[in-house]
Amino acid sequence: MAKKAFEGIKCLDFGWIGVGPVPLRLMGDHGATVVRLESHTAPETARNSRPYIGNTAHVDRAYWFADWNSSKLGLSIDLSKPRGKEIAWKLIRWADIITEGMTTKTMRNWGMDYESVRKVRPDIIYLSTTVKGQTGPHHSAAGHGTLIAALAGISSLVGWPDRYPLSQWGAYTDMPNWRLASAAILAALDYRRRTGKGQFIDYSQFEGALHLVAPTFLEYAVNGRLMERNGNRWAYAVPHGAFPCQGDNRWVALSVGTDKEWHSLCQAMGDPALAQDSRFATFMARKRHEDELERIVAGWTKQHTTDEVVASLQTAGVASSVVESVKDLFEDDQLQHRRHFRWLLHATGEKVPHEAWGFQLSKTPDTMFAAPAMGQHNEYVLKEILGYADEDIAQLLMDKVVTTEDDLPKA
Amino acid sequence: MAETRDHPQALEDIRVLELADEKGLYCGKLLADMGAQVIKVERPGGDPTRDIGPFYQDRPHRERSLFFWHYNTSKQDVTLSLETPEGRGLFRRLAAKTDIIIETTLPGSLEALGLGYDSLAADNPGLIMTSITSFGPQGPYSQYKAPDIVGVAMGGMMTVCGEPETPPVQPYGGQAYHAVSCQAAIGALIALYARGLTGRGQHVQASMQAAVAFSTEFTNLWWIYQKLNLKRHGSRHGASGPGPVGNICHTKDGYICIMGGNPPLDWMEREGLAGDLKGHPYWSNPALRRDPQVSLHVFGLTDAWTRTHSKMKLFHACQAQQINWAPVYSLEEVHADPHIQARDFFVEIEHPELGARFEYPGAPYKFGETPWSIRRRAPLVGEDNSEVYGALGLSKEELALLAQAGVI
Repeated sequence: MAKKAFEGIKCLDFGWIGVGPVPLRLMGDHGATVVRLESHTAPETARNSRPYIGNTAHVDRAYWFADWNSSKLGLSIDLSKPRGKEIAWKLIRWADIITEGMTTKTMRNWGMDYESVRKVRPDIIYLSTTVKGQTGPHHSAAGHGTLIAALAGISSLVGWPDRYPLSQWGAYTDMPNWRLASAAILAALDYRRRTGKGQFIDYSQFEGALHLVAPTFLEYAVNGRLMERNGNRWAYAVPHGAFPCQGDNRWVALSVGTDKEWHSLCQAMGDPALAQDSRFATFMARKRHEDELERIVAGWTKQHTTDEVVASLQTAGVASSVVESVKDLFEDDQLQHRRHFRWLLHATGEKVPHEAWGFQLSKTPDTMFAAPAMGQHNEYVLKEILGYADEDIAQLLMDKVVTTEDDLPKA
Repeated sequence: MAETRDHPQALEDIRVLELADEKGLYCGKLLADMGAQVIKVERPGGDPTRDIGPFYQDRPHRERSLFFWHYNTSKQDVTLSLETPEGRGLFRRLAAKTDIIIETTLPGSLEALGLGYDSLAADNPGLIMTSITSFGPQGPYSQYKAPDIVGVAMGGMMTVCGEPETPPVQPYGGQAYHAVSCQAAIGALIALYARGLTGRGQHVQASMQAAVAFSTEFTNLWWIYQKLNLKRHGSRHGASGPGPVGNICHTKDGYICIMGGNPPLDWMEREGLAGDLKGHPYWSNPALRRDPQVSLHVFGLTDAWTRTHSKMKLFHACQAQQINWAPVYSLEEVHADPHIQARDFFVEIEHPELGARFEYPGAPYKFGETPWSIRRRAPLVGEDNSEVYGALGLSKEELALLAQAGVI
C-alpha cells in the first residue's frame, strides 16, 4: 500500500487567499508535490494579515497564510518578466493540476488561461475560481467571502429578525467553497485516471455559496415563500438556541425536539412539574409560549456552569453543548485527541500549528508539513524539478526574476 | 427520467451505498450529482429525514419534504431493516458490490450488527467506508446527541457568530452538516484515488466537530498568538482584527455589505453627508480602524448616508467606481439576479408523480468535460427496491415475502 494517496501528482498553485490554494493544500497534505507560485513584488492578502507568528509582522510570519498553505513548496518569481513567464510555463508543462483565483482577465493577460494551457497539456485539470464564474454579465466582479454571503442570501438569513443581517465570522463562504472545489478536483482527477482526459472547472464562489441555504430556494421556488432570519429558532425544536451560564460570555446551545426530551429537560432543571404546565405540555403549546419558555430555561442555566448544564442534559438525552470559545476550541480534549492542531516546524524556526482536515484515512493518512516561506524552495524547484544549473539560478536572482525579500513593496 | 447526455459524468461508474441521516445526505448528493450511482438505504416506511420541512404546499408528508428533495437528488432508494438478520444479509450483499459506503450511525453500532468495516471489507477488499460522526469514533462525547446547533457550537463557529450584546447565533442552513458532509466526500474521493493505484479500500472517519473547527477562518490563532478570546462582532470581517463595527449598512430598501472599499466620499460630500470623513486619519492609520469609538463614528456616518439610497443604486454606482460593495440579497433577489440567470444556475427538475417541474439550485461548479447534473428528483420510499434487489437475483415472490416480513 502506498503511504501517500497522491504520490507523484504534481500541482501548480497560482491562488489567492483560500478557494484556489486550499484544495491544493489538500493535495499536498496527502502526498502530491505542490508548487506555490508567488512574487515578493505582490504578496497576497493572507501574507499580510494578522496575527503573525511570534507577533512580528512579516510576509513569512502570517499565520493565516501558514494555516491554509501547508505541504507546499514555495517559489518566488516575477511573472511580469519574460524569464519569469518561462519558468511558469515549464511548471505548467510539469503540472497535472492547476488552480488560480485571479480575476478572469489576469491569466489571459499572462497567456496562461485554460485555453492556452491545454494546447501544451491537453490532460491538465485546471480550476479557475472567481466570485461569479467565468461567464455572465458580472464575470469580472471582484470580491470575497463576506460579500458573497451577502449576495447569496446567507446574510439575510443569519441573525435576529429585528436587527441587522449578520455574516458568520470572516469571509465565511471561503471554507465551504474550498471544500466543494476540492471535491470537484478530486472527481476530475479520478475521471482522468480512468480516461486520461483532463478538463476545466469553472468555480463560481457565488454559486457554491447558494448551496449552503439551498432548501430555502426550493421553498421559494415551490411554495413561493421567502424565509427570513429568525435568530436561533427552528421549527422542529423548542427551546432551541444559546442560553447564558455562569461566567463572562459563557453559553450552552441546546435543542429539545420531542416530548420525551422536554420531560428530560424539566427533570434536569429540577422542575418536573413544569412538563405538565398547560403552557408547555405539548409541542404546539411550547411554540406558542416560546419567549416565556426561553426565559425560564435561561433562568436555570444562569445559575450553573456550562459543564454542569451540558453534563446533566446529555446524561438525560437532551442535545446540548458548550458554545466553545476560541480558547475552548484550542484546549478541547477531543480535538487534541484527533490531533486537530498540528505543530509543524516552520521556516521561522518555530513550531506552528496548522489545522487538520477533520477526516482521517486508515491506510493513506495525511503527511502534512509546514507552509513555506515565500520562495523557500526556489533552489529545489528550479534545480531538482526544472533542471536549472546553479549559474542560471544565480543569474535569475541577480536579474530579480527570482524575487527575494529585497523586492517586497516598501511600507 | 435520466437525461440523455453527450458527455459522461466524472463518477459515472462509482457505486455508493448511503446509510445517512442529516449529517451525511449532502455527501451522497455531491457524489450522485457528479454521476455516482448512489443507493440510499432507508428503514421500511422511510427515514425520519423525510419529516423535515418545509413541505410541498405546506402539507407534511414523507414524499413532500423539500429538505429531503434537495439533499437526495440523483439517488436511488431501497428500504431495508438492519434489525432483521435477513436485512443484514441483504446489506452485506449490497456492500459486496459497492465502492463507497457513506454511513452516519453512532460509533460502534454497525460493528454491533456485524456490519463493521473490517467485516465488510473481508468480502470486498476494495471497499471504502466513510463514517460520519459528530465527534469521531472515540472520545468522551462520542455517544452525545448532536444536531447541527451542537456541531456549530462545539466547532467554534457559533461563539463568533452574532453581535456582542446578543447571544451567539447559529449560522443558518445546517452549516455543520454541510461542513462534515463535504469533508467526508473529499475523504472518500481521496480513498477512491488511492484505491485506483493499490486496489485496496480503507476506512475514512470524518468528525463534524473537527470539520466545523476547520471552517472558522483561523479564529483559534488569535488565542494561540495573542491570547485574544475572540467575541462576536456583528457582520464585521475578522481579518483586520477584532473590532466593534459591522460591514453591513442600512439602505432605503434593505441592507448593503460595505466590506470591499472605502465609501465614495466625494459622492457623500456632494449630498452633504460626509461629515468630517474626507481627509479623516481613519483611512490611512490602521490602528484607528481598531479603535471602537473612531470606527463607530465612521460607520455611523456611512450608515446614515447609505440609508438615503437604494441598495441596487449603491451597488451599481459603487461597482462603477471600483468600490466593491454588494447588496444583501433576499432569496427572491438572488433568484432574479441577471448574472445567476445568465449562468443558468437554477435547473428545472421533473416530479412526474406530481405532474410538476420545480426549479432547484443547480451546479456548484461547472465542469468542462463531465457535466454536473441532477439526473432525477429525490427518490420515493423504496422506489428502486425491485431494480436493486432484482439485480441481486431476488425474485418478485421473494421481495413480496421480505416486504411482508418487514425486512424491506
